[in-house]
Amino acid sequence: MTDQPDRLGQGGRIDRSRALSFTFDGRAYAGWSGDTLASALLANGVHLVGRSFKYHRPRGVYAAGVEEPNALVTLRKGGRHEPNVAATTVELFDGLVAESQNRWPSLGLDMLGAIDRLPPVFAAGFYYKTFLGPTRKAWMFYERLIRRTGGMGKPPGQPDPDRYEKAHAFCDVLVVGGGPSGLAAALAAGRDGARVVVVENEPVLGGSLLARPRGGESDAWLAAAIDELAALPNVRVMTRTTAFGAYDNLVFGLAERVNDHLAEPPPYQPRQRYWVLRARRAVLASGMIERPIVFGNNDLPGVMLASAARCYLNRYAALAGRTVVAFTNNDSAYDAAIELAAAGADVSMVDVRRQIPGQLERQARDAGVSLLLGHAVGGANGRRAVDSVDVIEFDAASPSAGAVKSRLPCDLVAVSGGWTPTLHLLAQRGSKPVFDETLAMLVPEVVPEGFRVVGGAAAEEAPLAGLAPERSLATIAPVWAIADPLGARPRKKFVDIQNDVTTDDISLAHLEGYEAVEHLKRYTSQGMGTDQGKTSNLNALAILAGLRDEPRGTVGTTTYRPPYTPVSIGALGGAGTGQHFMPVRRSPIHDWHQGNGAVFTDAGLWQRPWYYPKAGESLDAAYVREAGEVRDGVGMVDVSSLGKIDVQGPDAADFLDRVYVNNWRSLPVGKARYGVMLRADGIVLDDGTTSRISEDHYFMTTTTANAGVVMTQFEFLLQAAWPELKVQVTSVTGQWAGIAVAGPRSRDLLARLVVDLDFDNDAFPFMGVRHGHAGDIPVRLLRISFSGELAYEVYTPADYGEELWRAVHDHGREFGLVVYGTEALGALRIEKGHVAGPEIDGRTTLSDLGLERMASKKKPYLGGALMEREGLTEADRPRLVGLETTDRGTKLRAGAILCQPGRHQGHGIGVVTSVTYSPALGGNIGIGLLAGGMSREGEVIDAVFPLRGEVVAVRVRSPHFVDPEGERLHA
Amino acid sequence: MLERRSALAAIYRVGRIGAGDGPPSLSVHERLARDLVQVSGWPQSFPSQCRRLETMLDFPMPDDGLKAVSHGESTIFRVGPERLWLAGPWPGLDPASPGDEAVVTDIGHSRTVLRVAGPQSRVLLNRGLPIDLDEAAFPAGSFAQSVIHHMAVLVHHLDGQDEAVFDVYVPRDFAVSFWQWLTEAAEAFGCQIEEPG
Amino acid sequence: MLRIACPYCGERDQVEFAYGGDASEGFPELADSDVGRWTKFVFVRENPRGVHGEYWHHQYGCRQWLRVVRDTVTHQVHSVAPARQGDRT
Repeated sequence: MTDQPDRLGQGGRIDRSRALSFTFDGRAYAGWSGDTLASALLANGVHLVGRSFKYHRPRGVYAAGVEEPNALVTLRKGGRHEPNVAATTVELFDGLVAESQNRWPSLGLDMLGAIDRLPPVFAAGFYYKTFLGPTRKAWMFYERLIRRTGGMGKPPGQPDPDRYEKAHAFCDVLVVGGGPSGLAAALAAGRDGARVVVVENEPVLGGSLLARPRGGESDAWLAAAIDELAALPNVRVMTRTTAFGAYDNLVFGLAERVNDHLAEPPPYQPRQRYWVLRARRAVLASGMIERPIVFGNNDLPGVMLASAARCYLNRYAALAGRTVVAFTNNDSAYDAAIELAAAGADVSMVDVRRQIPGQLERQARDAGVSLLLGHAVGGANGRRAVDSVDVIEFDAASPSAGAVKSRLPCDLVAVSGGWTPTLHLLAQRGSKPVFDETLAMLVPEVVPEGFRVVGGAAAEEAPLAGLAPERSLATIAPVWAIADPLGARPRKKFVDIQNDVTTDDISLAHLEGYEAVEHLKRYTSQGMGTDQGKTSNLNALAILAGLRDEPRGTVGTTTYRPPYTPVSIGALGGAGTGQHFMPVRRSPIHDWHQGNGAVFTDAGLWQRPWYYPKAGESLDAAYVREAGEVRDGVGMVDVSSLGKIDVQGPDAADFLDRVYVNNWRSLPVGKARYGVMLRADGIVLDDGTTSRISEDHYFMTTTTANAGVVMTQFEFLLQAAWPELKVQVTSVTGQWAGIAVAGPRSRDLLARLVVDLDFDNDAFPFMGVRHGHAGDIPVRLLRISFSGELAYEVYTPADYGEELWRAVHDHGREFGLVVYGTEALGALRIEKGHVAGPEIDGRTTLSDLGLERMASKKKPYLGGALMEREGLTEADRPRLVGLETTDRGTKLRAGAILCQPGRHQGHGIGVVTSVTYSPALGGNIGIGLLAGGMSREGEVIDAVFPLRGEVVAVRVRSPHFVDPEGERLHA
Repeated sequence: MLERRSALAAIYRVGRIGAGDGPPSLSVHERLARDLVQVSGWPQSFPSQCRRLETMLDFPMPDDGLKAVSHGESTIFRVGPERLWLAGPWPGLDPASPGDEAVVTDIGHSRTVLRVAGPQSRVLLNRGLPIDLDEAAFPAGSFAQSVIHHMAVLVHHLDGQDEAVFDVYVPRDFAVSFWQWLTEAAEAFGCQIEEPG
Repeated sequence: MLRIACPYCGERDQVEFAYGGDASEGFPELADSDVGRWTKFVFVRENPRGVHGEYWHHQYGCRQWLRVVRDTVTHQVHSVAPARQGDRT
């Protein structure tokens, strides 16, 4: 571990009582608590921290905050591996492991740096113009190679071990930014009794005050403000939190880095937390971000923002250079220059302005800063770090630059081209900032309702009464880029440093017609990196305005979108990952299935038993056995997931008549009826069985999948269409557990169990509804059948569900009862020719499904009018048929397209919707929709599955494969 | 003897979970086998139905969808403009009697009810509930029908308690998923799972 | 994110609601078999840039259908009323 050669012996706001150690690219270094990774690297004399995106040029730390374009590193290992993290935002902790990115084999020797020396093959938009030959497929070859060099960091390969949380919050006033203006606003609102939330990116409050030398008057003010806010119970201060998005209605997205500053979160604590905060008012105190002046080789390590150099000095006691050239067009950089000189650096100030305020000039000379007014830096020199700059005379009026006047040796170039207020949250709400010519910055134009902008973000010069103001902004000379000096070889002049976008790229884009700012952005990729152009956007649009020869105000800005800074997917996902992505719905009998060998399947959010394999059985073997045993004897299946709706009230029958296509008024109490309902557009919505429990009370079942849809439809009709009807609908899906008991022995079994009911065919006929008891358990029985066998659905309130299941199961032993799952359930209903979800797919009509005779001619019903429209009554619409493979052993696939033999083209003449192996027939069958329907009975056609190249011959027949006369049902 | 089996029967474990070892800032338990009866009607006649119920139960009906009325362990919620939920034992309630102008639906098995108590109960619920639970915005007696992680919930801030206590009604078929969500979120605070009752 | 002031529950997040489509057409009489009338109701929609009357269902709340007047450009909600008050503008 080396000493920290560039750390000053005293000063800074770091905590020298807590020493930390960390590694970067495998080497160990020391730092202090309060450091960022970037400040610690600089203090250790590490200036090469990365390689650039496209050209793999050496890069160093550029800024001191979220606007950092260069120092992107990979942190941590294993499941916590995190790429593309700006080292300037990383709170140093003991044992931190960081690696540089985008270089091979090492940072010092990156083979891909050769790209930088190629002629401009890789200029903006290169992939539209180069690598396109010799053949048309050539691009795909090159693309694979180029893709491998693309990107910066590598993604993690292991699951993230940490927890993430989401939280909801409400407040009266949200203050974005914990600098002086934000804290003042928070104090005012807090003292007023409002519920205040202050959000600050950094781990400590203070904002721009933290970049000032320690021990000034602002320190006392800051300490008092922090104490007072902490003592106010109605104020919540959230540090390490970024307000990354502003949404409608003053709703904000916040990302809280709860435990990023520790090697591991404490047990049970989250790594990060995503907040949805709803405010009544918002105060934007988000400050400003400095931007540079562009010049040749301005991306060399050692070239950084003047304010960053100042921050490293005053906040972290890290000296970014000892021979400093400051380059500027405004007053603010003088603070950096003067303070660096006071710390012992040799400082020269190159200012494009010929005249500067007298006081400023005096202060600079008094500090020992050499002044070169009316000059500019024409280019930086050095290989892996800056070692000198070329200085030229500067004339704002002249478009081209003069010759090099002198060469100044330096190891730090602190550049300031001006400041840009951070207005992203306002702009996300549609209020784009406008260009102010005097201040040479973007300022708010329209402030959306509920927002207030204060401090630097509002371009205010004097933030607070009593505190020394920052330097004046009004004396800026608008200069964006310096041309190559006369006679010097051309050098790359970087506008967007992260994405390697140069002034030449912007010129090229403009030349090729991409002169709208949105086109410029996408064609050059300026502003599209992780820094989102925070230090480059204004320069780019100013340069573009120059090329278009228009005032900067007319160029405009691109659209601002959240997030302001990168937000981890983990935080946004919160606890809703893996098994918890969506909640699971479980039957009341779920635990029994789990403990008795069920394999589950997903039916929407429900987990349903799919099959119950005996030892060594596959799915196919299991369902064929289960279905076979149902038809031979008796089986039971859990049908608790079916939608159930109580329809109650004096107008209930009227309502059913309106929503079902068939008649309901005539249904007596104690009987059930199969019903089909349509959508308003005439397409079948759902089917089910509805029982009349009493005069004004009906118990409706729907399919599992459509329960919610039907319920929503009913509520709409009763509230918006027919509010005069006295009907109440209530979802009772969760109130009842349901068990279907099916097979020729089902009556015998149930009669043994439900002894207070007469199960005689006359006493309890097909479609009857009865109430009784299985032991103590109250049960409602519907004699209805999905399978086509003699069958009953047995319902009981959900808390008795498992006990009822056990009772049926115990009594079932004597009858050879088989427990079956949804796969066998499907096989049985397909054999019966019963339509279900695959046929009721939102495109089929009653006639398509062969159910047209159900439709009443005596009363209107929903969907009746549009059912008759042209498109739905065409003669050649595909209609329901049964299919059996001509070769019994060949499997049929659902989704196969039905075609005339040998004519496999277009959409064919139909589609296979449901398939199964039929134990009853001993072969593979299916049902489907076929143009011409049953008029093609007996024909042999092809079922074609192009994705697998399969063609299966099938014979058209009735879809009712088993017991077409329904004898078993009425037994 | 017929017993009601909770949806959480297989996974409910009494004991302390999560962070810390001092006195827990949260406690959770299931409220078992609660009665829940829905009475609903129609705009013209519902006010008179409410008066009938008030006489029958000797208790006022709630006026709106914001505050519930409670009598000991029993509560009445107005969950819709003409819909009441009567939770807990209401001995005077005769299901048959509301008559022509109201209908009664027993939904007592359709919800699992969990009681969340302790100084951190608001913070815990706000991990998933998008409702302002601040004392001023959601005082004792308040209730809200809302959603936590795609599961419909009714959250009731109990009256007459020394500390913040909330009952959460969740659909029975989501009970296990909700319990998993709740207990995982509670681990960050440290939580005592108490005997159901 | 929209916040909708449900008349029964108070102001709530958009996530509690399901969008229910344009509400400018009155529901036709069921007995009306005119295909044109039903076609207009089911399929034909203006798509205004600006003020729009639409249905929202308070799915996770009181399950009431609401008629909301919202600006399709700014998303500002101008009014919320129960659907059954049946006022068409």
